[in-house]
Amino acid sequence: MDRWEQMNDEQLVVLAQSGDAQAFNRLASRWEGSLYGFVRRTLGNEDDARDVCQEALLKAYQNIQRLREGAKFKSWIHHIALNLCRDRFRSTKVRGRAVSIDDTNPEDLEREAPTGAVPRAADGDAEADSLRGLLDQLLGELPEEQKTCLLLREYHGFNSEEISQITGAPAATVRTRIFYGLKSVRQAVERRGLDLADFR
Amino acid sequence: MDERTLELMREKLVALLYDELGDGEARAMREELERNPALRAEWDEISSARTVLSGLAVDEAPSGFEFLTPEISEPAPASEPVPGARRTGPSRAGSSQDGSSPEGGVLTGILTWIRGTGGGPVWAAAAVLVMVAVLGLSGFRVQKIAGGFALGFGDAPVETLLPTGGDPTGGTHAANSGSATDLGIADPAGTRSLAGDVQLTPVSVGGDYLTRDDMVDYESQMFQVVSAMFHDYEKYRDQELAGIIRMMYSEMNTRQDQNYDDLRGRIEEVNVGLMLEKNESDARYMDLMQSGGENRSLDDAPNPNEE
Repeated sequence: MDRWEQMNDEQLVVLAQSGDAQAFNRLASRWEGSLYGFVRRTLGNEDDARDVCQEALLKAYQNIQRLREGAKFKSWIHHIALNLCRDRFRSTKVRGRAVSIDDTNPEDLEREAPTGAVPRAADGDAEADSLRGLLDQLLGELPEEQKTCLLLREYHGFNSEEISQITGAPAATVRTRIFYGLKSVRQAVERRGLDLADFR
Repeated sequence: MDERTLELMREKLVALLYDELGDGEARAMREELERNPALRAEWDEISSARTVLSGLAVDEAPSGFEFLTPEISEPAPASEPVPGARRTGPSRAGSSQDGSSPEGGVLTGILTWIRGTGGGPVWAAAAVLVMVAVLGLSGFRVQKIAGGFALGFGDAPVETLLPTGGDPTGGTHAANSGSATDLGIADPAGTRSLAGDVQLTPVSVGGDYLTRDDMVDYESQMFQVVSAMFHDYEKYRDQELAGIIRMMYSEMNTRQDQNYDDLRGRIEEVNVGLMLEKNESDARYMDLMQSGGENRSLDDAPNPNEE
């Protein structure tokens, strides 16, 4: 284990703020996977996700001096990325590509959605793609606020307070959004006739 | 249960689902779930949805994603071989595995020189491609001779043969007008007897003649060097992109500052204009007061209610 791996985010942020570029590099490599996953699921597009991740890391690098609590680096970088995603959603170009509840015809979703069984393929990559596609569809039916809170809670290990810092919504509102997001997911699963036992 | 209380309970359901409640609160909530079937139904609904989401968890880590800030990227050594680069031909005694043989050094040296001529990696790659094309068209050949290489174009030169038992570094060489297909192509497994007491000894076993395997080695080295160049090119291209993004940010900041300054200037202009108008208005008022209104007061004004 090298010395970087032994350091927590707070220590690495202190080093990065003192001008140690390698410390920032380590922070970036530590969280880029989570960041990319969150952005890709939010935007629903790999190319845009890469761009946003790159931009978020660059912004974090340029503004690292402003981060007062180093332990919150992960929340901070996700907050930056979420703001960039919101900027993208405002642009017509991305709005056309991302699946959003506002501009998706529910009938189209029903038609495209798999029904009857959770996709399971023999090939690992194909199975991952199938699962990813189904998840994108289920989450794509949620309003953005619910989707964001659910993603951060379910797949990125943030608690309600941290999600509150990232999204700017009160923690109670975050929990309410998660509640309704989960209910919507459950309903979407039922509409598709998927068997819950397949997910266990 | 009123709507506000219901919302509060739903919040707590989520907190319970994700272990965000303290022990006491969690216990109380579980007891409430036992008592309240409606709440229990909602709990079942969200916990099953969570099971679905957990079942769909897929690692989203990108392959080869790299943070592209040039200042903080560690520069790779220029001559670093590309991992996984193709290496063809059998491994033999006398030829280095890491491509650091004297022949490889010459070739690498030439390519390093091309790369160091001031152009970027794109120009270097283009130069290599042009060179390879020109050499291919001109019937270029390489022959290892005593003390170095012989490079040739066009027709095959006079073949140089090493007599058996002769001095491998020079000595007596017999001249023979052999065909191009015979030139320097020897059995890689050992010395090949051509005629009588004349033998060709390949480079791989310490002789002077370049064999197919040697050429395969050169090809492999060439491939590695060109691969390294493309690797460098991609890295530099990414760095340039990062530079462009940084420049755009800088430009945006500058424009923002300019816009702010412009706006401030316009506000200042409006302020000055308002001030001037106020001064003029004050002056007009003073004029009016001095000219006609000095002895008039509101008491002198006619009362519209009086007949």
